[in-house]
Amino acid sequence: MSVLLECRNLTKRFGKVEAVSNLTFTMGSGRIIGLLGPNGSGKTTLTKMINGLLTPTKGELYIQGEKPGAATHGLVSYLPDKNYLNKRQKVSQVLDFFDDFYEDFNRRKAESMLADLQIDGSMSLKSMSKGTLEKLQLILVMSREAKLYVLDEPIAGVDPAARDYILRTIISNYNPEATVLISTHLIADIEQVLDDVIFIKQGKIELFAPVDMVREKEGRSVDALFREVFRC
Amino acid sequence: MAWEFESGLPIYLQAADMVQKRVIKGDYPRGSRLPAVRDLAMEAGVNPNTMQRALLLLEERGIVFSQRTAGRFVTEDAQLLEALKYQTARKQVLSFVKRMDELGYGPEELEVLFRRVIQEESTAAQISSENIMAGQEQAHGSL
Amino acid sequence: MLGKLFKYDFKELGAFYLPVYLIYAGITAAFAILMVLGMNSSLQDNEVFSLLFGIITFVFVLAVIAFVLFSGLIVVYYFYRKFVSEEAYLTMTLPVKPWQHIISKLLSSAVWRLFTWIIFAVSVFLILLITGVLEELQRGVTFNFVFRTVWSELRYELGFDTGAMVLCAVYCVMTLLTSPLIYFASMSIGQMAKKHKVLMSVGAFVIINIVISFLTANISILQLQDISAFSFLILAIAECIITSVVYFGITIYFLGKELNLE
Repeated sequence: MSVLLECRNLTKRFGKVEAVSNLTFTMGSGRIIGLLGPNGSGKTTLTKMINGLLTPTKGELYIQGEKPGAATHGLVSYLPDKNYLNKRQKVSQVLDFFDDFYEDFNRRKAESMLADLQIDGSMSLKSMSKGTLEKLQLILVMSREAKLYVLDEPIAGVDPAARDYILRTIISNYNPEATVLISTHLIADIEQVLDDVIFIKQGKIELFAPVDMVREKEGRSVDALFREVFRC
Repeated sequence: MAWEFESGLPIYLQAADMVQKRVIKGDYPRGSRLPAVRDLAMEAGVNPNTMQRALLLLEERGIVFSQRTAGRFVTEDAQLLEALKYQTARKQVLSFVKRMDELGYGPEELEVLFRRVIQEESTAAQISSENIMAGQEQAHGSL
Repeated sequence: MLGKLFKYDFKELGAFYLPVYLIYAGITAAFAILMVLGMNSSLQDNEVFSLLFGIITFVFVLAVIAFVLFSGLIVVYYFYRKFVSEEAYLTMTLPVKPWQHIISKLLSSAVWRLFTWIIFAVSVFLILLITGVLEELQRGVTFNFVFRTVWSELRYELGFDTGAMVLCAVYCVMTLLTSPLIYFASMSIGQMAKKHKVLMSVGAFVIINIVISFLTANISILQLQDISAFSFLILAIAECIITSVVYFGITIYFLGKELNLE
């Protein structure tokens, strides 16, 4: 299991608030990892730093030994919690765009997934509902054969059928060379899909362990443990 | 989607038991090839690593064995499967007996109770099927 | 990568520029038709027509100003969309280096702004042709004559020799390529703000301008002294190069090292 992601004393401050506080951890390949924490715990800040969209205040972050930049963008497939696509395009044009810029983009895979969800290539993004846009983004992100997938809240706000499709896609897409990092606060839905969980609370890691180890040790689900750790 | 898992137990243990049940029931016959890890994982809605671990556990138990290139197979050992079937059933019976004991049924009463319930159930089934037949005849008659 | 970026930037910018060109062409055509009508008929005495003519002339002048202004603003808006708005999540996670992004935006927008100037020149020329100049030409004034007059004016009155003319052309091309950089630099500073990114960008723009005008104040004094057109252009080009390098550096630094998307 080679090291895919490494953080050393990683810190991000916004004014006086430490959104991410002195994180040190590594992630190997071939894992599906849940980054779990309530809103405002630092999940999104961490995922943005992995993608070079925020610059750490202190500490380092390496993806296969490199700092976030043009080279690592080619290795990391990122689903932000925003609609980042150009709405003036049609679906087929977005596919062209991904095909042109990402060497690891598997167009045929994207097309078959779009067909599964009845999204037509000639559809314009402007005419799409928010939910459909989210599905399109997820398809684009999962159709890359990346080393690291970083999915920020992929199942928040989608209907149960779409959620099942997303989880099945993550499972069927499993590749021992790649790791999937899923940030979410809806644990019960994805618990059985995960290898490991990271609990993040006020910018600090509370727990980083395999799901079954937690269940074995605690005699209860990760979801139940989460509810206790993050009780208001 | 997927298989239902209880919250208190490791997922791989539960997945292993579920596959084992299929073997006992004969859904995966003796000597047959198991579906690929990924397909089973998809069906169960669990992580492929978890399913892999579940199947390794079944290998340890001797229920399945893997052949390097061809995949995983259900054991040919009929005796083992028979024993496994008995063991699993036994566990269920014991837990049933325990629960009945809590209701105040002793072992002898239980036997009587068991026969009675089965008898009732089969007559009930017969009556309902006769009703359906009668209903159909009525429908014919009125035509 | 640069080629692919250019392809997309050029196409996307085109989607903004083409409608502007169409509207401008429509207004120019309307104006031209009215001019022709006005000159060739008895409508000239019609009061309603004079009023209409006055209005359309006003609209045309506004259109010319808006056209040139829009042409510059589109690039600024485009940069904002790609690097500051939500689309930045995609732009900044492409396997492309910041300098490649900037070069591509500069080149593609330069081509479109060149089209703008050509269309602008053609439209003005057309209007001149229809009005007075057309009649002058009919009286035997050739283009050749006009050109030579302008040339000698530039050459002998303003002291533009061939070298200065070449430098002038170089300066024009350089300005066309680099003029959006100050806006890029301002916005790359502005995006660091937690909120009010646009406000911070405007603030950065004002400050950069103050700093630059302070630094170039000495050069302006030099300009007052009697220096040749050639030296003046050399100075202008030098200033353009220096400021462009600085703006480019600022943009790349802040987009690459201090990105703060929230």
